[in-house]
Amino acid sequence: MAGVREYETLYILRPDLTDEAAVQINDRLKGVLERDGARLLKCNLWGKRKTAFEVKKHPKGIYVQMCYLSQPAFVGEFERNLRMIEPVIRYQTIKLAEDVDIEKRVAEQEATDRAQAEAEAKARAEAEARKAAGLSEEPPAPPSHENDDDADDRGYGDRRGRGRRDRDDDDLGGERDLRHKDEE
Amino acid sequence: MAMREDTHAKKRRRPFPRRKVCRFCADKNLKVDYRDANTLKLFTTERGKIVPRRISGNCARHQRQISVAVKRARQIALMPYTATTI
Repeated sequence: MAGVREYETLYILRPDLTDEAAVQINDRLKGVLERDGARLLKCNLWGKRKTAFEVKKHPKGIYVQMCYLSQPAFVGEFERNLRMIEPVIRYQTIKLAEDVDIEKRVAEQEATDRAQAEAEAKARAEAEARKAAGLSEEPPAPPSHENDDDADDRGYGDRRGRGRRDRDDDDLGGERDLRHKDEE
Repeated sequence: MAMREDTHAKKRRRPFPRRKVCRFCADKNLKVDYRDANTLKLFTTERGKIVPRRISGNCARHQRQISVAVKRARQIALMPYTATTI
């Protein structure tokens, strides 16, 4: 018997699908997993998000992540099923690990799931406690983070030379050439 | 013309290179993950190209992981192949 591997499949559904329809498709795929003796590790619905480019003319997509343990031959069968389901506009399977011990990995996953759930519950309880205490000193992390990223991103073309140039204003030669090449 | 080149050459002393550290080596808990588009964005130009190692400062191993991760993220539309033309 060939070694069992751990795979992760990410697929994108059409954005105009309702939540129920997405869950329905997910259940259908879970059925496929079960039928062929694969073991589902985790299944996450990321929800609707913007794709980096239009996929089959859709600017958005519903992302679903599935991690499972199976024989290598099963991946082809799973992807064949994805192709048959019409609302699936894109999918990708990644091999995460080879020669996995099924029972061990399942137990491991359950442990991490439990730890995660506990951490979430704890965070929620803490947030509630803080709210109850009437303090709102929580730093507004997510929005500022996003801005930060954008600024970094824009700066990249510049960064090729900036650090050095600051120290040596006249020396623009080589660095500048490199920048221009990239921007064409 | 010759003179200009001469002065130019004089001014072109090699600037002191700043020591760059691979941020994945510096923080052992940090993993390269193709699903984390926000982190991967730091290693691409605004046009979507992968930034070379000599500029990002990554070590060979992590640069390899990054390049695979960016390519995977592109395939599943988490990152752009190229900036969309306007």
